[in-house]
Amino acid sequence: MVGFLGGMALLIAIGASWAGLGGLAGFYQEANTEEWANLAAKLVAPSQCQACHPSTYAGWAASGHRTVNCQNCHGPAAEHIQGRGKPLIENSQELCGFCHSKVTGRPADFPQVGLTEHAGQSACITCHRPHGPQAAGLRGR
Amino acid sequence: MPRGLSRRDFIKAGAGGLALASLGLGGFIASAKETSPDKAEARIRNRPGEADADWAFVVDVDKCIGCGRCVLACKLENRVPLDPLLNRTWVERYVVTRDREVHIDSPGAGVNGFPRLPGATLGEPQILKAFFVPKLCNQCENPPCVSVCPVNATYKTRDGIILIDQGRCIGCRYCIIACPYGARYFLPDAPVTPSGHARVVDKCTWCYHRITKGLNPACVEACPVGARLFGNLRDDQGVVAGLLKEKAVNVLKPALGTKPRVYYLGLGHWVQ
Repeated sequence: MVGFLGGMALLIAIGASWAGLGGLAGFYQEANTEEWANLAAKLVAPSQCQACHPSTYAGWAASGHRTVNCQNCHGPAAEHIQGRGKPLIENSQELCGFCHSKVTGRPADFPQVGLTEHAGQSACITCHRPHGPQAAGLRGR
Repeated sequence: MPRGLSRRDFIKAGAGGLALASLGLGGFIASAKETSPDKAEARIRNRPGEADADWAFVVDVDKCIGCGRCVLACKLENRVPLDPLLNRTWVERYVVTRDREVHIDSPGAGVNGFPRLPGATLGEPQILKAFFVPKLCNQCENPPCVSVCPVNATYKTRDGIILIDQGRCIGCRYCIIACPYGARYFLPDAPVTPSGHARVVDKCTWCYHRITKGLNPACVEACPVGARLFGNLRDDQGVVAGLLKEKAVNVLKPALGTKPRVYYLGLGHWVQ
């Protein structure tokens, strides 16, 4: 009887340690939680772009595009800020089209056009300035 | 059963053992709490202006334009493979036709936006309603994916985020099946995770490395129209706390009892 209870207690102790390791309060997960928390962020706040690009930033901040993060078009900037890697410069219709091509499901009050009907194969930046508040008689978008 | 032990004695012994177990378990957890430095929790407590963390995510369906910048930002921030089937977050388009049929598409998870119409057979006159629904891990309060993991690789942090210890994951994929929201995916052979693990499960962490530093998740940072919002409900002045207080919100599949922490504004009954 004592042996049986002892064995049972041992089994239970093993079970409890497992529950401790795997439960919500276990230290094992604490280490892994730290691992996840310590990863480096790649997207930075747009305000970090301001120090080196003040005029572009000022134009952007006054334009309709001020809600569009710089890195949506130029790629994550963390490495660029550390002196590694160049930001993307992309002028394709496709890039503008992600937001502005006419698409079923897009809220009707959001500015959108059929790109090729509107501009043929011309790049959008021929007429529109993505950073500037005003451009060539067009609205600053 | 040992000889000479009646069924009643056996059950009694079992009950005694159970009592012993609960004592042992309680003691173990208590000692773990005392001995391990609670850095994750401490850091959150120490964040300026916030006493503690009760994270919540709000998705405003009426605002989403389906540009997919969130999907791309997530992939770049978290080294998610560019494979269109492997995603931590994605955008679905729901097109309801006049015959009340629901057509759902999500080409490449929406990473390159959407075509004008979901298919060649659907024309604009047939469409009653169309809208986009961004999806991501719901960080359920009651997560089925955690319950099924046979090796305790996936777990809930004290601040309620479901994470995976990818060094412990054996790649059995039970959790992928268990998640009712399809929020988990299997990483392929190439070691693409920040920790270099391959053939393990990966999922959205709400950018745990960002939110614990006081930053927004990458998808929230990338959203140009404010369709994705993130905040700490302990911060009474926060936008997310305010929205939950004032607006009617819905969660996905509420009947399952998973208690999601992603709250949707303007979610129609068409959405699954």
